[in-house]
Amino acid sequence: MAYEFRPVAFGLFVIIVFATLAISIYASRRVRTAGHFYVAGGGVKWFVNGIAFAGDYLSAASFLGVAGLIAFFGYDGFMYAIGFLAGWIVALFLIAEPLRKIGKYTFGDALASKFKDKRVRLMASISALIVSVFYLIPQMVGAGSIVEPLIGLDYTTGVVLVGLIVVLIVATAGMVSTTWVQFIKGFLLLFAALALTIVVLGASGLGPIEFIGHFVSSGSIQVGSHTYTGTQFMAPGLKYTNPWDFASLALGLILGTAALPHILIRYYTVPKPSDARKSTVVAIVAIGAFYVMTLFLGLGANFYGITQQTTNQNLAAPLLALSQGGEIFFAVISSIAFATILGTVSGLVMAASGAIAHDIYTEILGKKGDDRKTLRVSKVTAVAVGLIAIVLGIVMKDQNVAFLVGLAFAIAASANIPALICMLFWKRTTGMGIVIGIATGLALSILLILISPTFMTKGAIFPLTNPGIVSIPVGFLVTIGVSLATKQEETPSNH
Amino acid sequence: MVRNGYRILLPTDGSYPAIAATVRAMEMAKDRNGKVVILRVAEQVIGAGMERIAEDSALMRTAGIDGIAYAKEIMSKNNVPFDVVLREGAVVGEIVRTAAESEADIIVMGSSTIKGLPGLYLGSVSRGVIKEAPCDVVVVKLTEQEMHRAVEMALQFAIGQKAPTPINGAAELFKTRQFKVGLGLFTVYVVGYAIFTIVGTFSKLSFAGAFGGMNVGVYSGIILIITAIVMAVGFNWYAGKKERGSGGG
Repeated sequence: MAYEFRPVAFGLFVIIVFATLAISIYASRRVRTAGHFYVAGGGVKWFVNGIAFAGDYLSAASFLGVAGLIAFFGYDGFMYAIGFLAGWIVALFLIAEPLRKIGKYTFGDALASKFKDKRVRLMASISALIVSVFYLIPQMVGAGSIVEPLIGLDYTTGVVLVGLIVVLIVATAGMVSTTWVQFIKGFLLLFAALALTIVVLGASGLGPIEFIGHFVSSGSIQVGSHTYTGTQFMAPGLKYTNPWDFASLALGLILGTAALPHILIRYYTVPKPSDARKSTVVAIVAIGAFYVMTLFLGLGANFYGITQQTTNQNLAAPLLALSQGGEIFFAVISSIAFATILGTVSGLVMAASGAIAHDIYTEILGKKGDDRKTLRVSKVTAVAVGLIAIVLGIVMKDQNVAFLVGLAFAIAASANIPALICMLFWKRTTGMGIVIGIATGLALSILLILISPTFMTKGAIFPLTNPGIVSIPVGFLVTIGVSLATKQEETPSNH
Repeated sequence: MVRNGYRILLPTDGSYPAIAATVRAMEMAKDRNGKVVILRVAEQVIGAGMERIAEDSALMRTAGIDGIAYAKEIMSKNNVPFDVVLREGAVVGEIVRTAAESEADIIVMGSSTIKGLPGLYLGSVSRGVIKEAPCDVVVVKLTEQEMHRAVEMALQFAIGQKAPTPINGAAELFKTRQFKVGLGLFTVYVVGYAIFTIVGTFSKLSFAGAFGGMNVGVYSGIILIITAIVMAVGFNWYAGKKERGSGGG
């Protein structure tokens, strides 16, 4: 589908993106140098951090992808919303507090404090890097999709544009406090979703339950050239024809959140444990409310006929804004989505390259003492990661972004969750068990994705689109098995 | 009001300029028979990974030493009396507030003169303090030689310090009531989620059963989302009550 250049939309877009960056610079500086301490207020930082959590988590995948999946696949899309939130329960009750008690900031640090083996740290950083790259792919795909209808540029240009902006930010400055970017975009996203939900319900003249009820009882729901009944559309099975796919996705999503490196890091960014907990609660409330709204966005896109042309699924929410609110509303929504992507990508790149510089360069290669060199290493890593993301973003063009994030979650859960859970709750875990466990989880989940129907259109060797249900249990089995087979090493004593 | 002696406020963050200011503050206190108030403000500027490395590098906190421990060491070695104050919040505001509260006669601090873009993001703390301070302010400017000396002293100190021993705090946490309550809530949620998943996998049609305007699948999905929110808020309320009960924390 060809899109024309829209000057008004483009102007608004540029203003919103720049305003977001400018406000975040101002805010991060203000906290540091504020003449009056109450301006930055000690009491609100858990709230800022909580919304930043939400902003970090609700990437392009949630806004563009989940809405698109619901519009095209009904209930199977809604499953993503349910699972993405469920992961926070694991993070809040099971993982975050113990990790914090150990007093380590990264997954690698936490593992390294318990196991002296350098291979443990190396494996943990490799895993963090790979997960980050997989998480970057959907962000790039989202960026490319948005730029297409907004500016009239083609998809590839969009991906390259985002990649270059981020590389530029990171390589020249590398210091825009991503926490404030996340905070602002978290707010903007909630606002955008709420505005769209109100528009959808207002224009339809139906109440929220009536609106969903319309789909449940509908006899013909149009998606492209297909027509579904309400019973088909509002129950599992449209995207996941193999029932085990539903289970595999459910498992990957609930375990994935706590395994994501860039989410875990944010848990340590407030000084007090009680603040960390409050931040998580704020995040859960914000994210939960957001996902309920995506249900209306997705169904709304279907209701107003966006799904009759099978264009890009990732554009369901922005095109809904265009059809119901006009060009300006469309520009605002697209800009927010774009700012979201920019924030997530720079946050991820910074977290990943920081981990590489810290874990591999400083700790494993033993280059301590000169932080300017460490900084240079992390910048070079950031540029490399940015370029890889651009290439992969172009390759994965036609995939739905929420689906891609689901894969990143499955990889993260397969590699990191067995290591995390075993380290925290099972005393007999050995360093070798962790190393082989992470390696197996990573390799197996990626391999299963490569031989799944996503990549092999015909005669896929592995029948499920999401590898979680196989690779997560195997990760646990290998970690436990190898730990039992190897001798327990000396762990630091309690005093 | 009885005031005994000359009071110097020394804000330190372990950066090289702060370390140089530490030496200067010690010398001034000795000259005047005064006392040093050592202040460390834990910043709210929160960053992860590269953000933190970049900031440490720009502010010259690169020796990775504990500014408070270093200042204490210098003061004790030279028999200068001192107090230690730890604050948390916006740096300039906390420095100014501490100066007023401790009735400091003078603030002695380092200036990191951040160059380039990082200066835009970080801003100058010393400039802010000069503007707002209730007393005199000395901003220590380093000559090249002094800088080298400060770096050397700091590095020697850093080598002398032993690495912190790893804490095995997780085991204690598991015994607390709060963690057990969390684990209980977690179990309830996971059981609900598992039932939901199993029904969705093996009995799709039961999700399609319509009642009260929507269907079973939509109701159970929304219930799972609301349960997560209610549990999180409830747990926070419970944990907050416990913290207040045990005298805050």
